Amino acid sequence: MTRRDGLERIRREAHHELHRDGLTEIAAGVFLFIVALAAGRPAFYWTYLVGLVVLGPGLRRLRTRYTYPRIGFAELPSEDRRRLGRGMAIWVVGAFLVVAAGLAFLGAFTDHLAWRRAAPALAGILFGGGFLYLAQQSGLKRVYALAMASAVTGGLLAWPRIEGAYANLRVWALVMALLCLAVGGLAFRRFLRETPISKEWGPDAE
Amino acid sequence: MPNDAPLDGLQRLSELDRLLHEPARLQIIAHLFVLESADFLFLLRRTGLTKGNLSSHVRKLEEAGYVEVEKKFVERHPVTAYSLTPRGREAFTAYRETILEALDALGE
Repeated sequence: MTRRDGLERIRREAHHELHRDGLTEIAAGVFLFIVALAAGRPAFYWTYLVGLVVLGPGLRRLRTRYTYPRIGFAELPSEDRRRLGRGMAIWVVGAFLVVAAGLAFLGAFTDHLAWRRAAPALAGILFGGGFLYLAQQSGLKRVYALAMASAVTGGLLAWPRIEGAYANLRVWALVMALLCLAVGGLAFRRFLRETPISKEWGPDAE
Repeated sequence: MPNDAPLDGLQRLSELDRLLHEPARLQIIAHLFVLESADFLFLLRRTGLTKGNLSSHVRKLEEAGYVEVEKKFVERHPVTAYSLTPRGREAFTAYRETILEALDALGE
């Protein structure tokens, strides 16, 4: 570390502190459960919308109840939207290219059923990108592990033939949902146990 | 002819903002520089200062116009959030540049 890295370290430690409660992983697990339920089933597509609408405020409410009274409240600066959008676009195109290259290698590039079966690989890389971003911001090792697990399980679950439309994707989403809920749940339990509620929490702390 | 660049760098130390040239206040302002805002408890935990110390240093930074206090609600819970003012941001950036230049002038 050079002396010019100090601010970056403070920023990362703040991210780490704000995400070590495990609630982000729990929210990701809930969303992946929705994917497992709704993928390839048009009748359940509305659950995506409910998930997206409910998860953000739900996460904030849980943090206000359990996290901020323990570690305090802090707001991270909002991301540079242009930079974030560019990064996401590059990641999505990269994920498509990786899957396309894999299918081309197997001689199944034009087989639409092979593309459907490869959906977990694509989803695994896309979700893995989200976890990787959070891991880089916070330095949390368990989130690096989830990023890796997302891509690896996605790749593995693209192989077996499972009956049903997008069944491979649903199995992948279920596996990742359980993994996220387990990892997040354990982290949350540990956080509650190790970090007691502070007397300094509140509007008149000083 | 001797090179007097290192001396110039060291001489700039006299331009340092004395209000920021204090470990506790520097810690507070460095945290607020990388965050949008933080409350008393978060700063208390991150800086490791005592309550009284943090309170008095934050007040000094507030009086200098470097830090502003905002009472807000997070999910209906009242929170006192501290954030850096543009003036505080400018002062810290200038302080960093000066001190890094001086340290560079001293060499390894």
